[in-house]
Amino acid sequence: MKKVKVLVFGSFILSSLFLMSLTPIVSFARTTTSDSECINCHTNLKKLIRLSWEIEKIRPKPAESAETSGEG
Amino acid sequence: MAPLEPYEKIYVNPSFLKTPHGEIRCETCHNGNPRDPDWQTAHTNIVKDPTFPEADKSCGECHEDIAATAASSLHYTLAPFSSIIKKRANKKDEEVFNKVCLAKDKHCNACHSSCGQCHVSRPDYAKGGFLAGHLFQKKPCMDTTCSSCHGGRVYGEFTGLNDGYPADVHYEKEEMTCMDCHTGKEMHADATGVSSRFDLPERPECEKCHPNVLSEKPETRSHSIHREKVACQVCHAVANKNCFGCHVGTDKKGLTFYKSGETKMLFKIGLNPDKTKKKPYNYVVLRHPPADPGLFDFYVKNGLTDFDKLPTWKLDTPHSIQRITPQNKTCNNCHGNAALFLQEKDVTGWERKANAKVIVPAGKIPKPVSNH
Repeated sequence: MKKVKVLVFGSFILSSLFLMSLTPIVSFARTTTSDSECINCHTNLKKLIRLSWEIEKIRPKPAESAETSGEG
Repeated sequence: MAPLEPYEKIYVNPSFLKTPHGEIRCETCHNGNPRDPDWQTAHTNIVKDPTFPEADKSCGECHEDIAATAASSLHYTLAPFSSIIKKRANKKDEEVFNKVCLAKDKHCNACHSSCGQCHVSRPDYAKGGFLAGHLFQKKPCMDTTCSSCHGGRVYGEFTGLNDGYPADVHYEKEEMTCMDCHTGKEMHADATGVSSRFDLPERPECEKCHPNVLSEKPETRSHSIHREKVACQVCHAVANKNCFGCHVGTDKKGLTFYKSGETKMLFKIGLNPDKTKKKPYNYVVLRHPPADPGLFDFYVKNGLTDFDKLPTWKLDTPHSIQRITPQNKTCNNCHGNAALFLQEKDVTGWERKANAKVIVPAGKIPKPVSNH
């Protein structure tokens, strides 16, 4: 019984150490993502909606010629 | 097809970052400065579509074989447009010819596509925007991709959008999409020197799925009688959309415009002007595209002086296939039915010479079958 307890405790310690060793990799991936302003902005819908209003003020939507008629 | 909102066009789905393409840094393909928090300066020298005109330098890094031929494919280069317009252009006057080429580039070449404009975003012609948050689509959706450029005629015929005309049986009954026949092999095929899309060896062939029809002993009598004499569509397509007249120009604001004439749903059978081993038929279905000798008059008069060098009623493969059609219900629905055939009276005066090879003379209209 004592041996089983030691085995369980040992496995717990080992798996904890293994999981801890993975933590820096995860945070590295996150750091890389947040390093890119492209990703920060283009994956944020709220930000894109606000920016699209701003862009429309500076650069209005390209118009289509009113002279076009018929099927293209 | 409803246009996308500006934010929808550029929203990157976070799942994209977990895909192989998402592992590549944005600036590797698009340039720009990923560390600049000011969106305006960050986008300096941005490349919106890295796959055009240098597919080999973007996609070709990993997909070398596909990019090598895709960059000279029909969609990428629109090569037949150039060859057709050059055949019809005034080649005696260099200045006039150059103006025709400029007008062609400005208007006709606007609807080419690229790797990115099929697999990542809608084509520029349809005002762009990601198909699925920048996730690469191996097989693009025909309703957003193909229909962007082929929505005027083919897509409507295939999906039954023309009032009174049924959808193509392949779409209606088998739920097939464009890509079931027009495979990646065809889309990415090298089209160098190809003067018509019908000359591309990789184009779809009915017999690939219906091998019995062209076999030595077809199951149906009508197939054994008509085999290799008429194109499949002559019996199995219904009306297609025909356009008459098109003029292009630039308005006072510098915006390009087109003015196309009336459109008509018609079904016209003509003579096959270009018999080959693959297309040995005597009769084919024709379509009148928006071709007009005054197409570029806004830019240059008499630009298309050789307009009648090519027919204005062109070989067509309507995407409106049915098993039973008005013309194949009985033998005499077609035999002796002159109205189905393109005759001299159906074409305007200036088109007669151009269409001489496709107009069916009275003597070549199949005679009624007496014992039916």
